[in-house]
Amino acid sequence: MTETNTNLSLGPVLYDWSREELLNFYDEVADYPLSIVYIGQVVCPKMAGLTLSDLEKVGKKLEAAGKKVYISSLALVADEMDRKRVQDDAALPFPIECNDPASLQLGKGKELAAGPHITSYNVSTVNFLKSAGISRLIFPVELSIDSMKVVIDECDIKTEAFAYGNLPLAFSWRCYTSRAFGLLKSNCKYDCRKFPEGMLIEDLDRKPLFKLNGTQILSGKCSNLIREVDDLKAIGVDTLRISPQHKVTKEVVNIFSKRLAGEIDADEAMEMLNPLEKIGFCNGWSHGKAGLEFLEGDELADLALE
Amino acid sequence: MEDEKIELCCPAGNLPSLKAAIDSGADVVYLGFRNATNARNFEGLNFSNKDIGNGIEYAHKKGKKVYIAINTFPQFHDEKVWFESVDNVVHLGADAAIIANMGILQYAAETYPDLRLHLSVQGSSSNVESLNFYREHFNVKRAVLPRVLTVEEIREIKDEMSDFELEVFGFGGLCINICGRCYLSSYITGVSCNTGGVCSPSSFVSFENEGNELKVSLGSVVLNKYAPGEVTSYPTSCKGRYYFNGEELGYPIEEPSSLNVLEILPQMIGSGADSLKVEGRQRTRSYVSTMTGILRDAIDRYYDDPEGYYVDDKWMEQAAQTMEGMQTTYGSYIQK
Repeated sequence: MTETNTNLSLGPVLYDWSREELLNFYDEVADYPLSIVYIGQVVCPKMAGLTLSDLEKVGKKLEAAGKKVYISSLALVADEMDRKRVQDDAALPFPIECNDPASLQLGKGKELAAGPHITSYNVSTVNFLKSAGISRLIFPVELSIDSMKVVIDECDIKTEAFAYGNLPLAFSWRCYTSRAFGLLKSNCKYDCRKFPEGMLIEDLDRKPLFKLNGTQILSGKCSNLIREVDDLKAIGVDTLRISPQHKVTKEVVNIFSKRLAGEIDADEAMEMLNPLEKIGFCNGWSHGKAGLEFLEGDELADLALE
Repeated sequence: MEDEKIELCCPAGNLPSLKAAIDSGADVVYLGFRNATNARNFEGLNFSNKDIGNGIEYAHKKGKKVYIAINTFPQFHDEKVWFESVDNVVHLGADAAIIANMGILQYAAETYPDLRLHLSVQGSSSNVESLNFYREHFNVKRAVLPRVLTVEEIREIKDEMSDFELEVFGFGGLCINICGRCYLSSYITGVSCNTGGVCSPSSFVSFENEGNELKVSLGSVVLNKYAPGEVTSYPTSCKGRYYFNGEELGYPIEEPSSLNVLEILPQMIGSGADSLKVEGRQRTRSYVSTMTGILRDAIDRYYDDPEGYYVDDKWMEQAAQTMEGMQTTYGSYIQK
C-alpha cells in the first residue's frame, strides 16, 4: 500500500464556550496547520455557540484561509428545538458532517460526511453510506486500528480517525450538567458555561472516569494517538482529528503537525503534550483494549509482536 | 392497526419464557439468536434454531407472532454471521426481523423484499427525518423508538407518519443514554456493546467486601459501595455512584431504576404507538409471565373503559417484586 499524505482536521467544539470566545478561537484557527475544520453544534442547541449567521461568516473566513469546512450536526435529535437546528444547519452553504440519520435525510444532494456517531463499523454499512451520498467517514471512536484497516482496504472513501481529545462516549435526553444542579434540561440554567472542559466524574476510589458536558458524556481521560501516528498513516487514514481542548488547541495542533511532518519523533511529541493534559491520556481502543487504558513503551512493543 | 388494541410485545431468552409470555397474554414475543448478532448476548441465554422453530410453531398455533432481533453491529469481516442470521429469520418463518445496522438492513431488504423489517432501538432513530431515511432506504415498516422522547413527541411523530408503526418501551431496564451510540461499557471493559451485544459483561464484574461495605467494580472502575441492607442492582456504569462537581457524591448519570408506565398507560396508548414493549430478554421466566400478565390486564382494562382506567395496587406490588425493590421511573415520557 502506498502511504497516504495524512492531514489534520479540527473537530467541532463540544463544550459550551461563549460566543466571543468561539469567534476569537476561529479567528486563530484560520492560521493553524489544518486541512479541515468542523464547526457547529453537536451536543445541545441550548449551548451558547455561534448563531447561524456567525457560522456562515466563520465558515467563509476559514474557507478563504484555505480550509475545507463542514457543519457538524447534532448527535441526538429528539425534540422540536433539535429538529429545527438540524434543518437550519442543513441549509447552510457548507458540506455536512452527519451525526444522526436526520442529517443524511436533510442533506440529500449535498457533500456529506458520516460523523463519529453514525455506527459505520463495517464494509457493507460504509458501502451503503456511500450510496446515500457519504464521501468521508469519521470512524466511530471505539474502532481499533485493525478494524479501521478493513474498511480502508475495502472501501474507496476518505477516512478520518479521532486522534486527540476527550472521547465522546454517550448522549442522552437528560442534561447531566443540569442534573448536577438539581435541574432538568427543560428548565436548565445554562450551567454548562461554567465547565469549558466538562465536569469531571470520579469513581469511589477517586479515579477520573467520565466528563459530563450537558447531554453528553465524554471520557475522563484525553485520547491521545500521537504514538500511533505512524500506524495510522501506514494503514492509509487520510485525516487525524483533533478535538478542541480549552486553551491548548493551538499547541496540540502544532505538535501533531510537526509529528506528521516527521520534524519530531513520538517521544518528543509526548513530552510536549504531557504538560497540556491535567487528567491523563488513553489510547486503549486503538489497540483493541479498554478505551480508558493507556499503552506505552513495552506494552506497545509487546502488542506489535502479537 | 387502527381500531385494534396496542400490541403487547414481550421478551424471551429461552423457549420456556416464550411459552410463558404467550400463555400470559403477549401478542408478540421477541427473541434473538445465540451469537453476537444479539444485543442480549449473555452467557447461558438465547435460542438455538431448533428452539426458535418450536417457539414460532407454539406462537403461531395460538395466533401470536415472533420477532427476531439482529440488533448489533458487525466489525471486521464478520458480516457473514449477521447475513446468515437474516437468512435464518426467513427460513424459520418468523414474523419480522428487528435490525439495527444499515449494512444488514440493506442486505435484508435486497435479499428478502417480503421480509417484514423493523428498526431496532439500537438503530437510535428518534425523529421524523431519521425514520423517513430508514423507511425510504430499507422499506422498514416499524421502528422501536429510543427512550429519549416524551409521550407528546411520540404523538407528533405519529401525526406526521400515520402509516408507519412505532414501538415503545413500557417496562424494564432503562438505558438513560441513546442506545447504539453508548460507549460507556466499552470504554471501561474494551468489549463493545454495539458489536458484541453485551453491556457490562459479567466476566468484568467483581464483588469485594471492604469493611462492612460491599464494593462492586466493573473492570478497574468502582461502580458502587453498598452499606449493609442497601438494595443492590446489576452493576452498569451509567448507574454507578460517583463523585461529581468536586466533592458531591451520588448518581450523576442515573439512579438504579427501571421503567414502569402502568400509571401513564392511557397517555402511552394516546400517543398512537402501535406496540408496547417489555424489556428483559435476560430476565427469568417468572419475570416474563408476571409482567406480561400485568400489562395484559392493564391494556384490556384500558380498552374496556378508557375513562375508568386505574392501576391495581397488586400490579405495582408484583412489578416492584420483579424489579427487586428498585425505584421506578417514567424515563423521558413525561418531562425532560
